[in-house]
Amino acid sequence: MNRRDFFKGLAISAFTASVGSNLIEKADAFTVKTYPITTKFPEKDKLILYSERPPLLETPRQYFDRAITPNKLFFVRWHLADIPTYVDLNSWRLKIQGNVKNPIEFSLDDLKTKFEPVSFYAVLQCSGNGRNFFKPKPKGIHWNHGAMGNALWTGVRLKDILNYAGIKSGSIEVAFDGLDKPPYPKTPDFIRSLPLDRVLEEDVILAYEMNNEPLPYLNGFPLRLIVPGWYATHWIKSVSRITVLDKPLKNFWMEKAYKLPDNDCECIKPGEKPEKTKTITTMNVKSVIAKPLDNSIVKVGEVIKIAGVAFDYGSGIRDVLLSFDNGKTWEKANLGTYLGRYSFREWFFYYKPKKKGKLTIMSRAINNDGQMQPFEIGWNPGGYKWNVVDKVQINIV
Amino acid sequence: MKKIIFLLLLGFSTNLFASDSKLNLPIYSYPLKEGKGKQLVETYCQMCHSVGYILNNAGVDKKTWEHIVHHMIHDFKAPIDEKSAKEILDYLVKNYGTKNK
Repeated sequence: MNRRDFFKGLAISAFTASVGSNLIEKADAFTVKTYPITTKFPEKDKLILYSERPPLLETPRQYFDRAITPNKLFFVRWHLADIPTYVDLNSWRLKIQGNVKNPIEFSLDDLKTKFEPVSFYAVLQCSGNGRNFFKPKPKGIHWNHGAMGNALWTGVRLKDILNYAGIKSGSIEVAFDGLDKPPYPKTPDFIRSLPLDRVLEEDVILAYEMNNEPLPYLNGFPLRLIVPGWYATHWIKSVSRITVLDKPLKNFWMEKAYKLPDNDCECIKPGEKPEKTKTITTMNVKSVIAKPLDNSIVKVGEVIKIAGVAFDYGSGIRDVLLSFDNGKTWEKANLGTYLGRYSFREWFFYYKPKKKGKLTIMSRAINNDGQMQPFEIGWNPGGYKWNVVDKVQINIV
Repeated sequence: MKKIIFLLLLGFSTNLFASDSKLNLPIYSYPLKEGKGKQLVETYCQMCHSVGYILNNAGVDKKTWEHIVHHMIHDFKAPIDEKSAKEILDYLVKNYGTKNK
C-alpha cells in the first residue's frame, strides 16, 4: 500500500513536471502573493487553494458572518498526502487497543447504536490560523483568518467507548491514528496522543456527523476526534485506531511538532530558540470581521452592516467591542444567538459613515473570564495562536 | 522522446487513479520559476507535497529555508542526498527568498 502510493507520488511529480496536459488544472492565478479560489474539490464549494496534495483549502473571510460554517465551505488541512478518498463502511472498524482489559473493534453502526449520541457546536481552528499576520514570516502555511470553522458535531463520548473496553490502571495517555498515510513510507505517520484526564471529560467525542450530515472525506470521514476548546491538531481525522498508553507517546509529532515556547508570553525573539517548549492546547479569545471586506468602498450616509464571529476556549463570549477611532473609544456590537460555550458567537453592528475618507474598523472580543484580544502578540516559531484585535479598512466616498 | 515518456506516465498515472476511489481530487500545476535546481525541486519535493507549499513560504529568509529543507530530510526522512539538498536550497533562496516576496 505504502509502496504503491509512494510510486504514485513519484508518478505525479514526473507527471506535473511535464508540460502541456489539459488534464491538469493550471493554477495560473497562483503567485507568491495571491492564491486562486478553487471549485474543483469534490464535497466543497469556493475555497482558497494553497495546495492540493495534501489538500490545504482556506475558507474566504466573508463567510464568517454566520455562526455555522457549512460543510462545503469548511477549511481543509491534512499533513500527509495519502488521504482516504474511499472508506468501505462494511469493512471499516474502529480499533481500541493497548492498555485496556478488552481490546475491541466497533463498526460505525455499533458506535451509533451501542452508545448515547451527543451533539454540540464547537469551533475547529488550526493552530496556525492567522500565521500570515506574524512578522517576520514563520515557516508553515500562511493562513489568513480562514483556517477555522464552526459546526454541530454529533457522535459518541470517548469516555463511554474506553469504559466499555475497560481502561487498565497505570494508563496516562490515549493515542489516535487516522487513515491518512505518508506518501514516502519512512515519513512518520501522523499519530498524536492526549492526556487521559482530558480524554475522559464529557465533551471529548468521536463525531460521525458534522452539521447533521456524515463528515466530508476532506474533513475526516467517517469518524473525527472532537476536542472542543483545543486547537485542530488534536482533532484527528478519519480515526481508525485508538491506543491506551501507560507511557507518553514518542514520535516526531509529539516531541517536535505543535510546540509553543514554555514561558509567560509563549513567545521568543525571532531567530532565538526557546529554552523550554510545551504542546499547544487551548485556543485564546478571538474575533474576526467578515464584512465589510478590507478596502470596500462605501458611500457617505449609507448604512452598512458590520458582521463577524467571536469565540474562545469555552468560557464563552461576553462582549464584542468595535472601534472607529483606532481604539480610543469602543462600542458594543449586538451578539447573535448563543449556541453553546464552544461555538462561534455571531455579532453585528449597523454603521452609518458620516464623512469621506479612509476608516479603520477594529473588533475586540472579551470572554467570560475577562480575557480580551490584545493589540499585539509576541512572536513564536510556529506562528501559532494569532488573536490580535482584528481590523479592516474601508474607503468612504 | 519527451512526448513518449509523457504519454507513458499519463497511462501509468490514470491507471492508478482509476481505483475504486469515491473522491477524485484535482491536480494542479503551479508556476514554479525557471532556474538551476528547478528540476530537483520538482522531483524531490513533489514526492510528498505539491509546489503550493513552496510558493506559500516564499519570502522567508535563507535561515528559514535551510531550516525547512533540514526539517524535510531529518524529520520527514526525505531521501535527498547532500549535493541535491544544497542545489534545492540555493534554488529556493534565490527564487523564493526575502527578495521574492
